[in-house]
Amino acid sequence: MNVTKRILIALLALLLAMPASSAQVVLEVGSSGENVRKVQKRLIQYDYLSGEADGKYGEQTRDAVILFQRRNGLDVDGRVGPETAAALGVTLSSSAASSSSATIISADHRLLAKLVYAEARGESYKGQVAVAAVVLNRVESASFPNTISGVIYQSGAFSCVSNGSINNTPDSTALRAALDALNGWDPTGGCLYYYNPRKTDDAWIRTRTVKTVIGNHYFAV
Amino acid sequence: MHLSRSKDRDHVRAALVGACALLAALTVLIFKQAADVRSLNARLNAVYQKAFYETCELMEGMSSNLRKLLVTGSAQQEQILLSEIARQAQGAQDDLSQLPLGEGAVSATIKFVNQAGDFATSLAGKIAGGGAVSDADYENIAALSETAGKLSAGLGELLARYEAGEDVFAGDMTETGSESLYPLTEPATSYPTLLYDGPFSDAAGQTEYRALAGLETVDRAGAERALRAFLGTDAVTALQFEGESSIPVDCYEFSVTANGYNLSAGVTKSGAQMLYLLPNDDVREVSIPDEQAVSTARAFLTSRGYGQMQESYFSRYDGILTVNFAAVQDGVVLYPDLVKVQVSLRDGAIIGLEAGGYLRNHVRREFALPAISEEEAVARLGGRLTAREARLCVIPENAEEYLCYEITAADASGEYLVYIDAQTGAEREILQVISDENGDLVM
Repeated sequence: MNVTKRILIALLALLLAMPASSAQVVLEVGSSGENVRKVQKRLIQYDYLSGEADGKYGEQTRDAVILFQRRNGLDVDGRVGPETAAALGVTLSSSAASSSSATIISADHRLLAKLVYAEARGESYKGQVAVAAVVLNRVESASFPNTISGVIYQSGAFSCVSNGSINNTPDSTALRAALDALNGWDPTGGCLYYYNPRKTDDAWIRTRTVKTVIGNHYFAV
Repeated sequence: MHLSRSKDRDHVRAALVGACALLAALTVLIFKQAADVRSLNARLNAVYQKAFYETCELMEGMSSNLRKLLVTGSAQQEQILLSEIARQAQGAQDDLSQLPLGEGAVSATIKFVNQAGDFATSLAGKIAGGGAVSDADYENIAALSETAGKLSAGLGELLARYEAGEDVFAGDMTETGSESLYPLTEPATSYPTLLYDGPFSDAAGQTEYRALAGLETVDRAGAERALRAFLGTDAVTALQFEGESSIPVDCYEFSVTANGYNLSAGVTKSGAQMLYLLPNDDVREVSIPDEQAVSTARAFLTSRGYGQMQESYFSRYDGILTVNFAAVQDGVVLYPDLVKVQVSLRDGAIIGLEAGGYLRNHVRREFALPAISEEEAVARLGGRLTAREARLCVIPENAEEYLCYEITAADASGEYLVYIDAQTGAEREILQVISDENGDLVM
């Protein structure tokens, strides 16, 4: 029993350690963003760099980092990894990691994108935005819960919650569709329901007034 | 011979022992699985039961607090009761949405508790702003109290049947045999339309497209011509009719290729106005700066006859920049009249548009002269804030619009937009400006 426990703990530790190591952020020439800005601010504060923290890792920043590494007994490579970051006293956040493709995603944006991916990933882009818009219309409606998570996890509301497919990782199209819906795009014009007429045997939902059809989904109020 | 027979017997014995062991293992496994399922079921049922008991408890409390509200003579007591009611309504809504009763069975009840809580918050705000409880408010309170009382009794009966062993949660519980549970969980149909100043009021959410009033109705060909002209006749290389919709205004739906981008479009039948454009494909390359994309978007709107537009904020997702514009009339920014434009940062092409706010609200406004001056408005800022600039604007609140001074102000914690009512001097709204590498946002 003890051995099993120990193995389990070891496995768990391994699992926990894995994402941490794979998400390690290293800044180098060409990097940009908030992490770079944080590093530059410290370099300016310690007089290794002059001027403004512009968030772009150029040659001046690299030279300053090299000088800092040399004076502080670190490996001199001109890049900011965990050790150099720690010596500078900054924490590099992996969500805001460099390059322009990384975007900070809020919890409700991520949850909405997961729902879109689970419910509508085979649909056109417009069909994906429409599904996200239905969730947001429910949040606004008095007849439904008042938060995105409340609407999505309402008992019996979405089949992807009951069958677990909501837990899949959304792709970038689902993320963009959720964001456009959050920004106000609504190809359903305020609909509160949608269903696939070929798949549903729910008689009640067929009594709702259909306002538009997008791909396989009927959108209704 | 003898040897081989005994060997055979050994084989049979071994096979039998193996089969027995397998059977025993399977039996243990099945029992363990069954125990797991029972324990999971029990835990899930406990969640449902908690939600059920709590709904009853909160509904009873709400009903009693509403009755007290009718008779109290103390303003302080009013505030306490109203905030209690709002809290109980929120809790009841959370619980109702967890009950496995089916959407149809609880949606009217959720609407009731949402409106009750919303009404309480709105009334508390009114009293805090110096207003008095009106006769209409008392009528609303009386109606809410009566409905809450009945619901609490209905849920109580359901709870009693549940405790007596009836499986009221089994499967789809909208109906037990021929007897519907609706009357127990649903407010009576006689409960009145609630009109008050809150987002869940029956007055809110009524959608009228004011900017389309009086415009001529076009046919499909007319809508198609308008879409081509909007995107640029030379830019459009393919166009296909997709169907009709009423979302909620009647539209023709198209898919169109312009400047090499595949877009979906909705064009209104009245006046052939663009309701929305959506880019189907992701854009990843970024080769033009945000500022240039913002001015491209502004120039585009001007050239399409939107008049003077003011950008309020923008955000970037990969290679698509979304810019928010509001209409401007006589130097006053009209925040309800919103147009959002998406620009491809690959080449500056216009690939997205959302004009619902603009088409719902954009009509010429008659402004009353502000009763307070800009200096007076700035003087009403919270003590920690320092004003940077101020301008007049119109902001929407529930179904109404208010002329306000929008004051950009800051303290050590960051930048804020504060909206001071230009007639009453009341602070109507406060937004925090959040800037990051992907643009500016307000919360």
